[in-house]
Amino acid sequence: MNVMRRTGDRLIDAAARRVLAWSVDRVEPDRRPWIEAISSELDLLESGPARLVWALGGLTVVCRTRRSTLIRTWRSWPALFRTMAFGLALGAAMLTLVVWSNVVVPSHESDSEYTAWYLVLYAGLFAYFTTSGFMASRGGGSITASALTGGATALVGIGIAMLTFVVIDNLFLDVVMRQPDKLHAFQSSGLTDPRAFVNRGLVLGLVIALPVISIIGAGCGTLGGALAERLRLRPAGAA
Amino acid sequence: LPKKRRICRLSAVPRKPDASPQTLLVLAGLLEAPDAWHYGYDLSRRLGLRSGTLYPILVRLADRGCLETCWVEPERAGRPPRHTYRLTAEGRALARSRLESVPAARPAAGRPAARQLAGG
Repeated sequence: MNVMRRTGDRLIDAAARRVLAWSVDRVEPDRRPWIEAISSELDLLESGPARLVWALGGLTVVCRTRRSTLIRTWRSWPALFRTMAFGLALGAAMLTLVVWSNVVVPSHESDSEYTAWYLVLYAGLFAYFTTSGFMASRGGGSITASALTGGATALVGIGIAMLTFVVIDNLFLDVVMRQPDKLHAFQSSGLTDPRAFVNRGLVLGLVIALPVISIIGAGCGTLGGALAERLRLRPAGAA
Repeated sequence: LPKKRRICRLSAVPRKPDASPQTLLVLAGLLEAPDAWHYGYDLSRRLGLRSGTLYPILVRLADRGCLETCWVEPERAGRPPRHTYRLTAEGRALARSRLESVPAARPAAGRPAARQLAGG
């Protein structure tokens, strides 16, 4: 029984040290001494669960630091603009593209004719979200700032595109309803009012697709931030 | 006219900083021996606060210039240096002003102060 307990305590001790090591790696550099302070007290505690509970304090410091970084970002206009800049640029490009392809030169072909182009567009969007996270990290930001920038880029950029759809679908309903895919979907929807049909699709897009794409953007931003951090850590002489 | 029902009421009065029960406990604990350097684990045990509660408070107090910190060599060889804490003059003034309104925050010996403050 004693052997089992000792083994359990050893495993818990190892987990506590891992939690602290993970926290040291993830915390903002100016907060690192605080995690080391928590770590330096660990040996004074009785072996076992108490040590793990103590070590979890390191995670709390990491989370609080990140939360205060987020709050600082949202409370400062220049920081907020830096976070939104990529999204606003994407939004402007998407607005032009949506108006051009739906009103100025509306296509009367099925979307399936353009599958390859859509794939390129999605790949480009994901690369853009990743780049926004990369640039946020290069500008001295943390991984949290990169995730936030990636998410904000997706939210603002795609949000502007969706709002553009809301305006043009309602203003130019007759033009938009000539699209074969939209017409086919309307006929099989069971709805009688084309405006109700397009607006239902737009609401679904805003409520479901926008949050999903924002999460994807945050993931891509994190990836970009991690990439920038890796390049920063690499010795100057390395290729 | 039908009576208006409120689901919740939000206070427009801004919250006083460093006035949470836990922060008051930490301030009281540090003010008990204002010239001494305090260890994190000792504070945690004495005040009945977990590290996840204690350290964010210490970080915040240090950020505001209310707390000075110092690394000291361990008493026993082979152990890492320990981080110690002491209130600055500004911190003592803040602690006194905050504790004036809440005398119950002073920790009593032999009873975790967090439970004492919660009325347990």
